Amino acid sequence: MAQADRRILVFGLSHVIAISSALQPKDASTEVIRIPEIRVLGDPVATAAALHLQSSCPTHVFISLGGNYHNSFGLIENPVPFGIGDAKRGRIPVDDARRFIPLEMMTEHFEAELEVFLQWLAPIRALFGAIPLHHLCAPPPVGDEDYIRRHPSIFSRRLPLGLAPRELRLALYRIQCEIYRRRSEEAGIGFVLPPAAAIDPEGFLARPYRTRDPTHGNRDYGALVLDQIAAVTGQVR
Amino acid sequence: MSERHPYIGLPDRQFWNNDPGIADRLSFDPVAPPPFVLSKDEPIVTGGSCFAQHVARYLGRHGFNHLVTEPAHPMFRARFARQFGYGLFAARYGNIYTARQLSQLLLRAYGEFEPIETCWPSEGSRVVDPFRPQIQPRGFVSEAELRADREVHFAAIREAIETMTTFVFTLGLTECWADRRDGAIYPLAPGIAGGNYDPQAVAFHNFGVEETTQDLLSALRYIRAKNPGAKVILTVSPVPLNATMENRHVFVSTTWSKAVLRIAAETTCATLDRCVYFPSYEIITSPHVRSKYYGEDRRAVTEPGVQHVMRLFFRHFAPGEEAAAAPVSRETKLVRRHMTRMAGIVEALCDEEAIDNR
Repeated sequence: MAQADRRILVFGLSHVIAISSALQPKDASTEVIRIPEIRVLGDPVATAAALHLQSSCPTHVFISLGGNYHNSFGLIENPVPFGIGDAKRGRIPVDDARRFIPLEMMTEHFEAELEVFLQWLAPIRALFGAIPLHHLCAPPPVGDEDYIRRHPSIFSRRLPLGLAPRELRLALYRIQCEIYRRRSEEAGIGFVLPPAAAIDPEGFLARPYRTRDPTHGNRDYGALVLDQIAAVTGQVR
Repeated sequence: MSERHPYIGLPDRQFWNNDPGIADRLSFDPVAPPPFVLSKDEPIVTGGSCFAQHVARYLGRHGFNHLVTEPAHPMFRARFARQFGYGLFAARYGNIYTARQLSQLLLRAYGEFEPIETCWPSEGSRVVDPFRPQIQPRGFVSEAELRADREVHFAAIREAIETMTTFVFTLGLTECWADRRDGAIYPLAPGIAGGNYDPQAVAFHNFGVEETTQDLLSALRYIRAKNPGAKVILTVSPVPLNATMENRHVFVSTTWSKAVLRIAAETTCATLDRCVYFPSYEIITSPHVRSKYYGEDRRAVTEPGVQHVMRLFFRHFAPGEEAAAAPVSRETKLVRRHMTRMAGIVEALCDEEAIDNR
């Protein structure tokens, strides 16, 4: 496909803002649309259809849905602190005082809670027919607890409850990623992992790619994702 | 003046034709006055075969303190948690079918018996616990996770044993599969729900009266050593065997097994103080109830049957205690409120425009 014929559509919730903020003139063929409110997601097929028409028949589509859900579970310490099963260590964190949740149980519950987003993968796939469609994985959590306390954003009122252990937050994020990966593949949708350069050695969002809240990537993160999109679509940025 | 014969003056319940249940099924009440009663506050631990789950369910539903020392995290709804074995009994031990299994469970929980088999392979890379192979729908992700869960589980069993005032145990089976190497009893033959069947490694065994009685006495004495004041209520499950390894009809095996269990229960109650038999088996199987309490398969006990059993249970063991729904715990309310607020925050966050580039 000729470079000039590519029309890339990216749409989704708040995680696409990092991508749109990174757009440059050379990205003229890429359109990023943020669905402004989750309530609109009540019918994302209709939303996607409208976007499809709006963007004049894209040749490639990338979506980002429900990427922050792991923070509902993981960011702030639960009133009944918990740990989850882990294949290597037995449990994360290794703390007998925390209520143990088998990994299978946590995963199944997580998937049920995410169903509000997951249920739309297949209809969106059907809407775009043969157009290559990919789901963009959300960025990993911030590991630096001091950073989170300095930039709590709207979590500030819940901060007195304390932060959940960082290793637990990362484990919950990975559960979410695996669910989205599996369900995307089941729906015939490709899955794009977060850019490796944005991940620190422990698996958290690296410092240069954070924004002023505990959950999103910044413009530089968005630029890395645009590079990933270019690689997937064969585009030259 | 002496009586004409020794039956003069005995209670009506000791005479078949005097039973009101002959005319009215719901009036059938074979329960003898128990030596103790239960109050709503005292912690009660249940265990045993599948019928025991009904006992546990009704205790909780009627506001009794059905002690659960291995609860699911309160973020989960009860129905979902039950799929993973939470809340069925005090701890996540699943069904305990034989007295030997009960005895070994106690020894394992207190570190006095470490079976050779710790883990059975399941589908893919998953594993199951040989002693509760169906406690999770798809097993554990690894032996490491199973070990971590087992530590929690054993601690919960110890807490239950040491905290309870009353232990209600339902005897279910006499048939089992035993590891030839160390005598460990598996609730299911390997190969049915995980594990690999190897006739060189496991053997079928059908416990007789003497073995069952001794195992039951051993288990209850072990409990009393940890908790001297514990009261015991024994009952025999009216659910017939699903299958028998004996070369005979499964119903013939059923009557034999239930007879063994009934005698073992009776002998145990005659031997130990504050140990009483509750006739669940008799209520469900009696001719008085006209077979009304078995389902279409003639095996599953229907809800009306469970209701009859538990109505009599509460009548005799908790007279005067009003039924009341178990309140939602404070812990559950706190967690549910927290999760709702967090979901709302994340939803609002996703609506926020403020993304900074640095």
